[in-house]
Amino acid sequence: MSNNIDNNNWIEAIKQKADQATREVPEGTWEAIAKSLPKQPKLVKHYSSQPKRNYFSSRMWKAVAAAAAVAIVATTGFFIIQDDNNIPESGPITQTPRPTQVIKSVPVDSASTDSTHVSPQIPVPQATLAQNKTTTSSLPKPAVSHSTPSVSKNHSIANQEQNIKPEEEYLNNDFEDEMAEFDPEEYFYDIETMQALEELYAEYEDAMNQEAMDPWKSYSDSSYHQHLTYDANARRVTREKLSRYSNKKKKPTLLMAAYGNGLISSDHDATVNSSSNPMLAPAAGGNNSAMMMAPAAPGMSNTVAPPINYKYHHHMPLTAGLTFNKRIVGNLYGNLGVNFTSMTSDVTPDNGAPEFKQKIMLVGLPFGVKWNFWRYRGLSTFIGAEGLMERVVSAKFNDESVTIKRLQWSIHATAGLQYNFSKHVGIYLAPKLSHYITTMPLNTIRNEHPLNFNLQLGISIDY
Amino acid sequence: MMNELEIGLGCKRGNPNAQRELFDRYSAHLMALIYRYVGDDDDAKDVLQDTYIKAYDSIDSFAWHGEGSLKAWLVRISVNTSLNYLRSKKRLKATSVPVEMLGDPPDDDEAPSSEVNNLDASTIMEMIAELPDGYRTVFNLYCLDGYSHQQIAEQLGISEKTSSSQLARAKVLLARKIKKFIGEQDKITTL
Repeated sequence: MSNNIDNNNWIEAIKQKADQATREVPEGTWEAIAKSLPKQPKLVKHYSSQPKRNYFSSRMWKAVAAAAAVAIVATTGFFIIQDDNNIPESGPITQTPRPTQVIKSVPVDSASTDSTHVSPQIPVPQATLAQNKTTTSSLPKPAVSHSTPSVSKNHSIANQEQNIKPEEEYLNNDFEDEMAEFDPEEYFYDIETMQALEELYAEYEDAMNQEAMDPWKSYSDSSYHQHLTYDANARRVTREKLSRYSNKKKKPTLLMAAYGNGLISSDHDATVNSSSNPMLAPAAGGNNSAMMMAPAAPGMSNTVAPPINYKYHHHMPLTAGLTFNKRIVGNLYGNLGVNFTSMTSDVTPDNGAPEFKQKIMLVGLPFGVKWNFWRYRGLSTFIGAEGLMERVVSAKFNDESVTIKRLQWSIHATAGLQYNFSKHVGIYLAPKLSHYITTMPLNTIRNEHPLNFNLQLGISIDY
Repeated sequence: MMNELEIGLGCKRGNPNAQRELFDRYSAHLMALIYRYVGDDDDAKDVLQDTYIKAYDSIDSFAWHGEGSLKAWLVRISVNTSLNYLRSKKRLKATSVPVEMLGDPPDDDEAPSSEVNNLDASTIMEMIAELPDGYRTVFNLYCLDGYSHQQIAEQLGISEKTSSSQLARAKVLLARKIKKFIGEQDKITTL
């Protein structure tokens, strides 16, 4: 044993001598080495006093950066392509719900009070038919429908909100703005219908003037009062529209105007093609592609099917996404990512029709900052603020596809706990407070609760 | 005077002064190290040149871990270059002195550490250099440069058992050399 100890000692002594040993370097050694060195100094990208990262992490970061760039470009491209689409936006329509329908008009005898013999060609939305002159304020706003299917569907969705606003509200709505944006090449109006409507207004005004001049002659129970509720603003809009499109050479292909703002409460014969509008579905829930408005008896103008109300049961939204965090300075990280959200609701009509589903899919770009304010080994806590821009990629109300162009914006604040498995990858749990700024035309949980609180569990990749 | 970090940084940038400083500061130590591996001054010079050329070429792979890391990095290159040199000369294939001829090492074949301490470092390096190539290499790797028998076996293409037995014989030979040298020194002193 003592030999071994001694043995180790002399070996150790040799090692110490070897570590200190030097040997004279033959002359010319450096010159030989210097000849093989490159003449020009190298351009060095960086030099760090920290241990160099291994090759894999360097490559991985490049791959991650490339993937993020591709995701950003692809998503942005998607938005741009969507913006180029000519389908009118549904957003404004949402705020001014109005029925959509194509109406076969019949000649109007403006002097007649016979409900079975009426004129002129006047589009009569069902909601209008459901009202009489005493409920003018609850009549739907004027709407412009057209042949574009998606818009028709949008209108139908708009109707489902049942927000038939008072006439005063209509006067302040954005209908005029919407009218100003109409492209005459895209929408064809039945000029004759508008002309007839204009004539009807003129007659009504004349009648009212006559009444003013001759108080003994009452027109209050005349056909005008029975069938019209005068609205000067609506007449002005009609007049403007008429002047704008009256010179249009193209042959009108569809009747497009629908004025349900209370101008006309008609019990005229009218064939209403409700298209796919669930609002216009017969109460029995049967064929909703067309419905015939039966002539109403005098004073019975509101005998058509009442509006349908819907009850919503919203399921928990599901979101999947990937967010990359890049350290900006110290413990402050900037983040950027992409996520997908699915929102499903069960919709139950109150007319006895079967329940159906509303499904909305969104793709979003979250961006924000995160600050790790405490760290112990792999555990860290953070707070963060985030913005989220989302685009609806798919929206279905029952079987109908709905086009929603408007970007959905929201802001989020979060505080959470993260545990890192490795240097760059960790799992986190974070309560999150979200505020959804933009509302959708469809009724969703976000519309009902713009401010909500949720809990996130996810994987974080930090660089 | 440049420190290690500055030398490393300068070499990465291709600074000639830093390159020269790297050579001036460590070449003597590396020469001694290479000499104890290859056992010859001329061969050591060639290997030293190769070592530095490799170091300048691969300086980008060097990572600073603190003072001494640059020297350790150069030592590692020197050892590998020396082994490659010996391998290229096929001097690792055969042992100059068959193990069997040495017999079992006697228990008293150790050199007293106190006497080793009195020896000059260059003398010890020459004694090591005089060992047969195989024994010398295993001794250098295991005792002086901290390799394990498994690593030595992988580097030299031998079994761990062979590495272990060659190390034992190398120690016997070196101990005898030291004792012999000390004995001769004692005789000279006595005279």
